[in-house]
Amino acid sequence: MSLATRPGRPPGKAPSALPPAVEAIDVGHVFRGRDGVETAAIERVSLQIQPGELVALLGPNGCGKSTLLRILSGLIQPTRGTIALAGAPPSVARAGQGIGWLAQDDGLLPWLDVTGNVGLAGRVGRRRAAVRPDGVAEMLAQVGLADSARRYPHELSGGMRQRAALARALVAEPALLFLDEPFASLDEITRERLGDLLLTLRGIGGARRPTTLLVTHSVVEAVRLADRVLVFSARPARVVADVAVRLDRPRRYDQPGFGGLVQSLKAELGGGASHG
Amino acid sequence: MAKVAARAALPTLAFLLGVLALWELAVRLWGVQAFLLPGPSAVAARLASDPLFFAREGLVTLSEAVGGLTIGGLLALGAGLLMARWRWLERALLPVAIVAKVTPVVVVAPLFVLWFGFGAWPRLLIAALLAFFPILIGAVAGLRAVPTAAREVLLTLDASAAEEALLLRLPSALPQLFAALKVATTLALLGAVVAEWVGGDRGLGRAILLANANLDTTTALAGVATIATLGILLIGALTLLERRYVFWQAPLERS
Repeated sequence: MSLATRPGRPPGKAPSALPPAVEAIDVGHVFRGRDGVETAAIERVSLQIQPGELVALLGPNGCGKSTLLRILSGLIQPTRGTIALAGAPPSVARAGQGIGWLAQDDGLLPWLDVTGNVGLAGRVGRRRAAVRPDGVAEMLAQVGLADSARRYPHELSGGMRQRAALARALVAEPALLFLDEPFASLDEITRERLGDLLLTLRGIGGARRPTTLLVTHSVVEAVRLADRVLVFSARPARVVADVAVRLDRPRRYDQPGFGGLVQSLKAELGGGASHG
Repeated sequence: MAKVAARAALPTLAFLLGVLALWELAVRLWGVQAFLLPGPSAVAARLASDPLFFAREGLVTLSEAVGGLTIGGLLALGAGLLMARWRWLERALLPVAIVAKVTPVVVVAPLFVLWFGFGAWPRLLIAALLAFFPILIGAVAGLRAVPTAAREVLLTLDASAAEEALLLRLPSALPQLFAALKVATTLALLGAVVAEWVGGDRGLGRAILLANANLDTTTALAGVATIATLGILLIGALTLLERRYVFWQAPLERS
């Protein structure tokens, strides 16, 4: 995919050698309800995510950031604007580089055991061959579910279910990982552990670590995990701040700069909300 | 497990026995003649006197009902898959299915005999016709009500429409399909009996018709008892299959 084939990049940005892993150009989205009333969910968002970055999309509840993630992954067609994933439309990226997806609802199939659910990535789509024969078992060991390989989703705790869903999202080694409030329904300890697990699993990819978009409404989670935080306004979503997180890893709540960054992001969130 | 099952069946059995006892008592007390209403003991005696006859005729009816259920079920499932995929197809076909459904069997059955002869086909097709509609409705509803989160996962995994149907839509429609199948089973049985009644040389419907003509109400009721037994056996088999294949359903939805 050559740069020349991509639609107009935002002015003022110099072209780099690699196209951004994720690029949204002037994306807007309007929902039309059953009664014909139109609601603007997203208002002209442009963003660029570089390969390997972990970017948190932070915003108040219902601001449209989850809708944006679905647009970026190609699940929803935006009513305006263009999406390019490494220069290609989402439908092409899905079959090529691969997209891992994990939402708050784990989406595990209740009639398949853990192995069956994680192995789903190797049974469907044009990237099914990306799952190696031992890939599922290795992945289960990495997320700590080796002993639960034959158990069914209804026999697992919420945290275990999200682990299984995370394993399924990553087992085909996608270049992109889209996470929509993945840990929001978990208790705080489990939530932190899964955040750490996410970082570990990304690290295993080495130089090919998946570019990750993490939708969250938790400021602390964003600061703990992300390389960069995009703060969104209340609906319709606009980017109100783009903040790089330059804190050493592994991150601790009491490390210098952590609390300050949380405070300033909360201020940005509050400011953004007042426009809505 | 067996103990639990026995305890669960207790109210059903107690009620059934109570009704039968009252019936027997009433028949004996007022000396009701057998051609008007035989007592349950007389019906049981008739069944016991010629069990092979009822088993043979019952098997004919059973095979027609199961055959019709299979034909109607497969057609309904196919139509349901297409209708769940393309809504305009639902709008086009559903009215036809409704017309077929509301046309009384007693009108359709003689027509089918005229069209398809006196062989097994008209009886199979009538059973199929009756089974078709509930399975179609269950299939469309079940195939449409796909869990969003799982669907999004499959779509991001680049699953094709066929893969999504096979791996997600069909299994997630199973609970509703089983419910529909139970309704369709009783209808298919009924359809087979009515079809035999209208034009057939074998089966329980035929046996009941002949018994009625001879004022042999005892044999007619013995036939009805056989049909009831078949219905209970079929529903029981379906329930066992459902437990086996819809094991993930919460107990709440099962009770």
